[in-house]
Amino acid sequence: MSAGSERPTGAGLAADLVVRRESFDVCARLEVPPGGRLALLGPNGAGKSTILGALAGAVPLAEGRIAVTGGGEQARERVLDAPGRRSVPTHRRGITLLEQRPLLFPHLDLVANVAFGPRARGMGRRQARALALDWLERVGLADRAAQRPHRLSGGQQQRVALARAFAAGPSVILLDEPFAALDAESTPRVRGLLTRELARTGTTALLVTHQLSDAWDLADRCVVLESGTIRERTAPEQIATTPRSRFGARLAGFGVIEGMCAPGADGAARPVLRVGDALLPGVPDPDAPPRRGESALGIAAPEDVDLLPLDDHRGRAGVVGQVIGVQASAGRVRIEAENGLIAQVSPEAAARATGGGLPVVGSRLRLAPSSLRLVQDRRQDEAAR
Amino acid sequence: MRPPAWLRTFALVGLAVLVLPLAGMLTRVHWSTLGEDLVAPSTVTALWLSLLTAFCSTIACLVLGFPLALLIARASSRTAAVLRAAVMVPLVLPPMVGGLALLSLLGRSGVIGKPVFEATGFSLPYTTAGVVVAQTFVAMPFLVITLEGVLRTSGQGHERVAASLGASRWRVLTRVTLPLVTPGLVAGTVLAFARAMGEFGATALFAGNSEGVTRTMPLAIYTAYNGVGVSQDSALALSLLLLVSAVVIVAGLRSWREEAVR
Repeated sequence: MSAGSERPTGAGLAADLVVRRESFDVCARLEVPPGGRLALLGPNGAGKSTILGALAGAVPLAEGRIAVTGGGEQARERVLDAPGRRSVPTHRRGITLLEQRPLLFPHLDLVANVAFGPRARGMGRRQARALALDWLERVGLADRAAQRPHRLSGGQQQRVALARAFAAGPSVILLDEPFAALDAESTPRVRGLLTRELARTGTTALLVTHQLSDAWDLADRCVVLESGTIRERTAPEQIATTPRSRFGARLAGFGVIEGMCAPGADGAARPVLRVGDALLPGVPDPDAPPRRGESALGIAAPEDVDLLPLDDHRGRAGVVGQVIGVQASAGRVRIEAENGLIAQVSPEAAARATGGGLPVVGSRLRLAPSSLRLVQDRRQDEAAR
Repeated sequence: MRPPAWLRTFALVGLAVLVLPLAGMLTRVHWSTLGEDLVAPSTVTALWLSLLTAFCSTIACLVLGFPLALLIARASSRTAAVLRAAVMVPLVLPPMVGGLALLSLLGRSGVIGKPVFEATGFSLPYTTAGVVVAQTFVAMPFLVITLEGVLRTSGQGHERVAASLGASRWRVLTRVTLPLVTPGLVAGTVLAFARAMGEFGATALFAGNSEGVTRTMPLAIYTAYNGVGVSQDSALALSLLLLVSAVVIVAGLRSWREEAVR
């Protein structure tokens, strides 16, 4: 296998996998075209690590298949894993991991660390060393080549780990929260290097993160995973403006409330979101409109949510919620309610709603979204790309 | 925080219990005849036999114990608990009982020993090989338990990354796992060797006490006090030798570990 890193490896990833876990099954269809970069976003415990484990060959599939497509001259699909067939072992998959921790080999110096992949794939000692030195040069650590990893800072170690991952010449690189363990100073440098090398080598990448900024910088597509199921497939910029899942909305700072999609009070075309006995006006999302009578999510920007006194029942236009968070900054008050809605109002408006003073955690308020974007509450991984 | 004063008194008494007998032994050694005692033929024979058998059993412990430790460290927590208990039993068991158990299995009338004896005329007890088996039985748990702990804590993360970089299982084992656990491997090996050198109970029961064949140093020391074989002076000299080598081992292990940690 060639460990050459100058030329795009041109392999894509096609995975349609079901993995059984104790609490729930993880089901996901992931497709990354050659040179593509997909971000996998989701809360802790959503199944992100399980998916990475399955791709790397550490977790067996219950159903589905994992394949690498394209891949240079022979534009064929190579099946890595599928039930009833012998799964390709981790070391022959060409799928390399870059994790949160650098995990450099403590008993090897930096060159030997970076040369580990090329050597494992059968490259000669001298050639592998030269390649490793090239990579150390690229990450700005060539002058420390003969040192052991423990003498480096966390950021430097992660740069070496990055060099080591790329030097192995992977067809797909799995990035498991690669900046999560770095301090604020070293993050930009590692992030910059990773962006640059992904672009230069054209390596196909799958990025696991729970930071929207990581997805913005590194990915061209993203999927949101919740409880083992993909709830949203979109472009990273779109999550910021029009998220369509609970986690996506949370990442982008939107409030989300669960309810039932119901016809409007006057029987008009515009549906409303029924939450308890409250009816909240909404606009169906054109790309994921909820069906009437089915559960739906109402997503609202904090600025579009008003606070009303508890006894204000006008048009049943608000929903009562308990305050779980209050933040004041730049002349605005941001109130987070237990029902998922977030309101951002002026201190005066907040005082009017409470009858004097700012709301406190534990108090109850009426939150009135002027407009909710109504989104289908996806329980199934649907093929909407 | 400093521990309370009365606790420190107990600690000092505890230390005295461990150290004073050894110091006491030093007062009984006849330093003038020490050289002669150490080169007495029966002493040299016992020493040589001890070194030979302990070396062989340590090798056996390594060859069998490392895979076992790796198996336990990588097993699911339930399986690991069962396996660890199985390894711990010989560790906790009085070695005499171990010797009896070995006899019941491998003795001339034992479950395996009997058919082997009838077929080949070979019987393991009361041979030098029997000493090695008894020592391995007693010493291996030390190596396995030490190594298993190190293997469990030393990252499987490194192994995962190495495999993803293209290293086969064998390469991961030799280039990553083994170097990572070297300190634990050395510590476990030294412990096993020391235990094998000092093994008495299982050896006495399973292999007997015949000079030049199964009479290792501990047996020689014991025999000396029963008035047979080497003299009491020789016994003290041998004990001193064992004590000195124990001190050297502990000191060496300590400095080596500090160097390894850096």
